[in-house]
Amino acid sequence: MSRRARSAPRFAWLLATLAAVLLLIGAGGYYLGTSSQPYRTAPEFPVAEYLATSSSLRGNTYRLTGSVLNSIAWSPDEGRLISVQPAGADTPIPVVLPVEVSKDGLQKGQRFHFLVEVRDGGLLYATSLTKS
Amino acid sequence: MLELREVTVAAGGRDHDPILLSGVSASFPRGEVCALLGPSGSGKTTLVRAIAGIADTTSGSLHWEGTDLETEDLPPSQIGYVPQFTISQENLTAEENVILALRLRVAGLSDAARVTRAAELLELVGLTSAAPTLSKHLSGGQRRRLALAIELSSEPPLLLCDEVTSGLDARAETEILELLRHIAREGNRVVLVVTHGLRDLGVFDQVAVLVAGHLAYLGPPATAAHYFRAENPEAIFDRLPQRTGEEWHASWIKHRGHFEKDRARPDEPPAQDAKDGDEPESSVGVAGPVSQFFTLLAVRWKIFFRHKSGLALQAGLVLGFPLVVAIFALDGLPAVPSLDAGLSGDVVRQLIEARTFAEGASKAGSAVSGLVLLQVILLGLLGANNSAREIAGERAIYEKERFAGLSPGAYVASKAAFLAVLVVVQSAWMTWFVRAVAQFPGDGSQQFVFFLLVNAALTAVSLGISALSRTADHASLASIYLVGFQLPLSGAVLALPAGLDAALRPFIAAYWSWSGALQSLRETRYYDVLELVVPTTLSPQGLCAWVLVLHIILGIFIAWLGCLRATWDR
Amino acid sequence: MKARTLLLLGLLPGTALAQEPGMGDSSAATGGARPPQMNEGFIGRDVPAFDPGSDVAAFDGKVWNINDNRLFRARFEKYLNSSPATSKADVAYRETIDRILDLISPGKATPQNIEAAFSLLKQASDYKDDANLCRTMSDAVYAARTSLKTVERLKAENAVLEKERKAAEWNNQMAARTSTLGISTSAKDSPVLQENQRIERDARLASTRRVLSDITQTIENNKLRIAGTELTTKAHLQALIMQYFATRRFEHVIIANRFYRALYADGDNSIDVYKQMIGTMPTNRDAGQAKINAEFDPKVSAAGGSADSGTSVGTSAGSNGASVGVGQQTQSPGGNAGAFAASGVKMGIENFSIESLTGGAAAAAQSISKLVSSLSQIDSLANEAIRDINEGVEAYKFLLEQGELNSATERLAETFALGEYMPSVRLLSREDKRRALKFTQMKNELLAALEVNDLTRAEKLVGEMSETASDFNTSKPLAKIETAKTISAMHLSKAKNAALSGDRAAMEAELRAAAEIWPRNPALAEVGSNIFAQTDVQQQALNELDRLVEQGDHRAIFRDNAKFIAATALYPERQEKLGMILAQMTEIEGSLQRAREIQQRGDAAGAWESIQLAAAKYPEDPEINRLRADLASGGAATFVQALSRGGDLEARGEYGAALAWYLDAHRQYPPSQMAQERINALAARILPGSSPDKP
Repeated sequence: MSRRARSAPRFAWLLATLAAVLLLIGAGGYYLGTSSQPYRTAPEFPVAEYLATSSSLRGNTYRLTGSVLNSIAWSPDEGRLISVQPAGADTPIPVVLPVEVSKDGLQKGQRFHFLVEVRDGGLLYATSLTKS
Repeated sequence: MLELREVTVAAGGRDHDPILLSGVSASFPRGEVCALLGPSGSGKTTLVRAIAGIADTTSGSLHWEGTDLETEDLPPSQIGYVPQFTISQENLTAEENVILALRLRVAGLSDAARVTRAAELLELVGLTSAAPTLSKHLSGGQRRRLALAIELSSEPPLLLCDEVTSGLDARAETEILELLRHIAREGNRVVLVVTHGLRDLGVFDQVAVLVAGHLAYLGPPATAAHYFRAENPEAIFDRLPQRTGEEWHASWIKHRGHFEKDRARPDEPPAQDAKDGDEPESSVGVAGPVSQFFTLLAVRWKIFFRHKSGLALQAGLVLGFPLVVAIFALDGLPAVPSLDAGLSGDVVRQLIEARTFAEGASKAGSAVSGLVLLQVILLGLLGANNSAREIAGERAIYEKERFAGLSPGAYVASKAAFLAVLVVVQSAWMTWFVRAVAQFPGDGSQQFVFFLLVNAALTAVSLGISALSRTADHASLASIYLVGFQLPLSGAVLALPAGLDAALRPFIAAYWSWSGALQSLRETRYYDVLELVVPTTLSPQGLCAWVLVLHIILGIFIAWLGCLRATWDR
Repeated sequence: MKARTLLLLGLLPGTALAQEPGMGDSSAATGGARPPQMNEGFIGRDVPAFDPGSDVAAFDGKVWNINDNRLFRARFEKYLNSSPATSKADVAYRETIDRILDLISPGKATPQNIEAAFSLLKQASDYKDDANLCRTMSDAVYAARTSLKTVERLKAENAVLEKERKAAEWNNQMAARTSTLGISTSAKDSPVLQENQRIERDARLASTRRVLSDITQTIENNKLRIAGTELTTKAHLQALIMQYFATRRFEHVIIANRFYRALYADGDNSIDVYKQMIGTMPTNRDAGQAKINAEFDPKVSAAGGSADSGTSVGTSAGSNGASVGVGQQTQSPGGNAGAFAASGVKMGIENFSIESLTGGAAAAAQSISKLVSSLSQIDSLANEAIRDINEGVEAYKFLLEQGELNSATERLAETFALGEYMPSVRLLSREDKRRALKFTQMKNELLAALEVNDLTRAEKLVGEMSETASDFNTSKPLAKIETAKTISAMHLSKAKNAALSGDRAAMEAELRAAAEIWPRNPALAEVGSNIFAQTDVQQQALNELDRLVEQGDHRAIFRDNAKFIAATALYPERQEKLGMILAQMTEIEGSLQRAREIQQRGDAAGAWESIQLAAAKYPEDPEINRLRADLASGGAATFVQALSRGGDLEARGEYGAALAWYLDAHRQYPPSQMAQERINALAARILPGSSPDKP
């Protein structure tokens, strides 16, 4: 080792730095990948189970991701009944958007994350929604 | 006094590698100028590098004033090294160059003291009249003098000069050699000069002749011709091929006593030797990294503004690129049609509606996605342009300054700080201009962040490339390639194959910026239709920003690594 | 083992079959050149014989046509299907028999060879094909040898006794003489003394006479035993030979014969003893039939097979209990010589084995014994039969090469009937037999087809057979077919005439007659329908209309509406009813057609919905229901399922999921009125006071 080269970085030190950087990338990526999902604390809406018997889910709150299919009915006082095509399923799911969460300019084909609550008669009421 | 004891240097640093220097023992007293002579490949430069501490010694030892340099090395500022070709900031004046050297190499000086000291140094090397001249306008001899002034700024007791006279006319050469002799005498320094010229041997106090790594002669120039049985000093090199290095060395060992006995100080008595010696050594210390950082940053800006054509180009790019984007959206963006959300049984009407929607949506979505991608790519290009030449273009200066004690961290940081300003200006202008002219929708601050990040990321990565590259042209080319590949590999235009997609995506800054910037449109209708036209899924904004920040960090880290790597011998 | 012998004897087909009255008829009907009754003489009547001119086999006084009885056909087919007797065991058996024949052939029969042949007998009996005949023979030969030794011993004993007798005679004479001397010397003395002397001499003589008498008695007894023993063994062997002959085991006849000659080298080969024995045997002609029945009726055969004692045959056969009883009686005395002599020729019975006693065999034995006077005769008859069989097989092969399958098969059948156990028959390769088999099967099929009057099939078979066998005589079956066809056609034309003249009874009778003769006559249906077409159309139509209305088969009415409209022209009530029905049907048909058109466009869900609406109105219509079911289980399955699941959930009050299913149905078939209707209803329930489809 020449006298002047002594200040050059040690290989092990470099390796450690690299490992730390990679760890940072992985951890950060993972955190950002998961935390970016809205309502991630709520369980995923079980489409198949709901279609079999909706009343068994009564009282629970779920996260439903899907695109708006149709606006089925609208009432100025009670809000809007829409059908949502859940991601990864064919069967449309009806969701009631109460007035307080109903969005202006709701468009067919828009994707939303819904936080839905299953109420009497197995009806889904959105308590919150954000654009996907 | 510099003393060499049986110094051996092998090419690879190991015993069985080719020997470059073989058992050289010599001593060089202070206040003397010594010439290192020898044909090409005889080991002159190796010897200088071994003394400078750049080349490894395989065996033997070096001593400065009796101290083994292996145990206690000279601080960087105590060795001056004057390279063959003068290296200085061309857009600074001679005086500025010297002041810059003083700022970087000498700690604890006031500005006034620095000016005074610079004037002294310029006077010492005879450049007082050329002090306000830009270094690029100096003549060859003046440049050598400037280089000497720069090296003397830290008052080194040991000065190594590599072929400082090559390419100079005879008069200038003589002047420079006289100056060196003066410097040696004046500062009681050891001055070693590697030279090919045998004409002015008389100027030197000692001459060391190396043949194939072996010391063939070390003694007064006057007796050299006699020792080699040459008619005059110019003919010495003709004699050398007659024996091998070992033979010459054996001959030298045999006759050494006789020639060393003849040695005499021509001008001044040896008594002076010890008197002046220690003074400058103790007073000079290298400036701290923070100080170096600010010095470099200030100089960088000074050069930036002094370099008029560069400034014009930069302005042209910064102002021009957003225009390129705006051209595509002068009339604003196409509107996104709406679909009837009612539950209808009229299939035909729905199909017609869906077709109209698909046409309009795809037009609008493509326009938005394309505009964002265009901005991203142009900012990437700006980033590459910012930094590709930044380090590679002044590598030699950096290496010399680093040898003289410049901190690589301070250097890279100064570059980063300088570039950051450029990046912010470029990105802000781009974002504002496109939004203003094309009425680009969406959250402007988010767009600015992602444009800034992609510009910064590519700037940082290009800086890394610059630090790793041999030449500025290499760095420039590699950076442009890097940006060029961003467009096809971003997945914004064409979807990549699944495996390739996952493997490449982390490295494609354009994708992350594009993906993040598009999501600034989340609350607009454009976002709804993007899905129809975008071939690749978008990643969450947080992740996009994170990856881009990592790119920046990684780029700067690579630049720093590249700066740590010495490129002396290249 | 005994049961086995019984079965072998019973396998002779003719013994049973000739007594079936039906068979007698059929063979008579076939009408050979020589009626079976005329087959006098011992060849063809009393030994197994076959008359190729009439296809008639004769044996044991019975005759039967081998090609025209079911049992033989079955048996022959079985043979044709079997693989040639070339298995390892078969070959080994053949070699053993040939070796025995060779060892005891005339000129080679040294005592060593006879001994070797004797030991081979036991070996031969190990093979299945032998049916233990060689074991029986071996036992008989052994018994004969033992008896010969007994005779030797008795003769030696008699020689000794003769000496004793001579000594006793001497003693007697001496006893008598001594007393005479004594008496003569003292006779003049006194009569008392003389009397005393006479009494004394008598007493002395009495003892010597008794000894003499005893010895003489013993010698005579021994002589009787010698004669009896010789008789027994000879008769036994002779009976065995006869039995082999009767069961067509001609090789065994020859072997037994040669052993007989080797044992009794006295040149006496008359079978008088045997004849006497047979003459006293009871015969029962029904016994054979019982055994045949036993073999072919699994139940009876199981009973017979499981019983080791011959009595079971008697009991299962039922009618021959008496003869079995005789067998048991005769068996009981055992080998006592004296008793044997008294029983006369019945002694042979014991060795004949109890099964042999059954009347069939006894009758056969009697018949044979009437004709044959010596063993040489039997021997030559057996050789003759073997030659005949071998020639038959050769003839078969030759005919097969010529493609004359009919003759070939007949030759083979004859040869098989005569000597089914002979090697040349057994060794015939399966390939050779299969051709005959195929032809035989066709022939059998033809007979069956003719029996059930399936003339079409029979005609076809005749054609095929004449193609297969160049020599097949088609004239006889074709004649029968043509005759039947002609008669059938005759009856049909009579039926037509009867129909035209309105005589329904006659018409039906004629039709029935025609159908009986040729049930599958294609003209039958045609003629029948023509006849009905000519009856009163209008009345029929009205009747039909009433019937269809009653059945609710509106579709049939709709199909023939023109006919019914015309028929009801004069009946306003019916006309009104018909009009209503036709209007309904037009609607139903319209919806069906509509649904089918939708279905053809590939829109199964739409088709289903269309037909579902019609089904609500006409739930009874079968066509609607069928199409609806087809669609619901076919292309529209998921749509129908979505609707029905939605309905179920709605009924349970689960409006959310119900709405989801209706939406799914709507997604699958957007124009669906039913889905839209339910969605609207549920939307109104979920959001009361809402307006549908507000943007």
